[in-house]
Amino acid sequence: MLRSRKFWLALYLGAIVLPLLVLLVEERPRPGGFWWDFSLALGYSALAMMGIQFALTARFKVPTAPFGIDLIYYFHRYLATIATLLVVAHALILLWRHPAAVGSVDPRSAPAHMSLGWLALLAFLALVASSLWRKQLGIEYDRWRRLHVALAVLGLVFAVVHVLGAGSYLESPLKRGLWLSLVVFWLGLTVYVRVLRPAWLARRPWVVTGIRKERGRSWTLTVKPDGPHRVFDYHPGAFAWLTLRASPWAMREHPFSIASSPMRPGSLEFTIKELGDFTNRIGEIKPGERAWVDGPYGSFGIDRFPNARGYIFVAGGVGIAPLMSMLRALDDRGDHRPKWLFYGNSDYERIVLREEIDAIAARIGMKVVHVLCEAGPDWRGERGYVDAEVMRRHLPADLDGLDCFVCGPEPMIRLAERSLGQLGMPLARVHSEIFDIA
Amino acid sequence: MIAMFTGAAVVVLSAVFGLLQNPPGTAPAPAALVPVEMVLDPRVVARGRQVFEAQNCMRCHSVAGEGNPRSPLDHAAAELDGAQLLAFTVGAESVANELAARTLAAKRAYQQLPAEDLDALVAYLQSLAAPRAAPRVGPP
Repeated sequence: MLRSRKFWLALYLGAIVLPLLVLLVEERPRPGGFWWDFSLALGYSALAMMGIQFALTARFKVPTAPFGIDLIYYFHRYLATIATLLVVAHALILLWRHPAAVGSVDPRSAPAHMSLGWLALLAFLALVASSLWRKQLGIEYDRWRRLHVALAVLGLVFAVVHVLGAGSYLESPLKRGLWLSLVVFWLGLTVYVRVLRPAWLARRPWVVTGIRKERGRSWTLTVKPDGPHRVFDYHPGAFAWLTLRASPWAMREHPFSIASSPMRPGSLEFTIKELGDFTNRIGEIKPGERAWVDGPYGSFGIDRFPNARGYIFVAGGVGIAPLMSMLRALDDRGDHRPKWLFYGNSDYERIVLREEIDAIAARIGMKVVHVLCEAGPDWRGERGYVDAEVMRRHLPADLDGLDCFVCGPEPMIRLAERSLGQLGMPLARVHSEIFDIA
Repeated sequence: MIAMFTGAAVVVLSAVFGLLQNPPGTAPAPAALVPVEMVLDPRVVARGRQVFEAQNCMRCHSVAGEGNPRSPLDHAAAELDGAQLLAFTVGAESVANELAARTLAAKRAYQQLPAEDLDALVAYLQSLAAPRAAPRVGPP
């Protein structure tokens, strides 16, 4: 049973507030003036928020399921950036009001815990900068992943040593013990994600059984388990972390939506477009190569809304991948509820999986509307992007009871959501998954 | 946006914490309650202040609100006599039970300072507790 969003949000807020409450356990620290205590409280809270980042990104299925993995990553970005700003505020306020207590920045004369505090601050700033501007800085994706984990762990460790050395609030062994336990917990999560889980995966290898060129610079990759283990159960629309030509410990896994239907066990299919460092070379993979598959993850999909009166699908380019899983599953289940697919691409020849979509559409009573933004003069269908005008021409006036699934680049999703809103569709029935986050 | 809300909540909670710790109307460094009769040489006191700054005492202590408010020294001399002030400064055996282990270790380093510097430091601390005492030249 999925716990609700409210439950996890409450837990999360509790985790933020808890470290501050620990400070009030036993004797309260001696007051040092408003700005002093305010800035120290900011520092403690920021550190707690940093610790929570490890939990957010540890890929726990249960807490992230109610939200969706893309939302979790967006949240992680915002929260980590805000936490870093709080750390900066902590340092600046102390420099402004109590410069003598901060002392010299020179590491040769400053005590170790102060120098480590400055290093922690630098690590967090580097984390934020290298993440928000990864592409502009020209950092290759896999290298960036490793840098990210290293900076995060270093930043957290340095910050904790700083707190234990400078922390005038942590005089009692109980308080120090509580803080240390929190930190061990956060770091333990890293051990789980980077060591334990890969070890589990390493005992369950997969093998590539097929690689097929598709329209629109895309490929369909088929993998199956290479051993006694079986393909995991998954819902149509789920995704998995795929590792090719590397070991499970190498941090070279990439998330891809599963495009196959779960009604056909035995293998998994991924439809992958050439869009970046890793995917540009997907066509070089040969059958027989080793693969590692960690999944399923995500809650995007029709099976969370089995009682819908019908479905509307909106896809842009390779955003069709998770929707293909849903379409193939509906086909296998012989579903005849009313359905519509609005599919945006550049031109007719580059519509990914075009033929199969048309075949499935005929069997499951789905109306397919291709919307092309670079079509030639012979194209008689819709042009431009999937917007309210296009939708209005093909959807019924009554959208009650329908659920909508949108997948593609972010601007496309925003446009689709606005358009559906204009047509009277409640946003709660529009479900989306954003591609291209990092 | 939950992340912004969290940031705002943290700032508010931290401010509340700051206010709880420092209710408006209380000053962090009250004036000395007991005027201390002292005969202090102003040159020794000035030297003591120099030592105080050179040793970065304000990393952990404050005087008149300047420095680390964790351990204000403004009226330390009103509660402790000269021998006790010295004992605390250098982490002597007699005060080992009063200080945290970490603090003791840090203070023991000051046992390396010359005796005149330590005496000057004590004189400086004593001058803080007697702001109105007219300095008279004479043996300390």
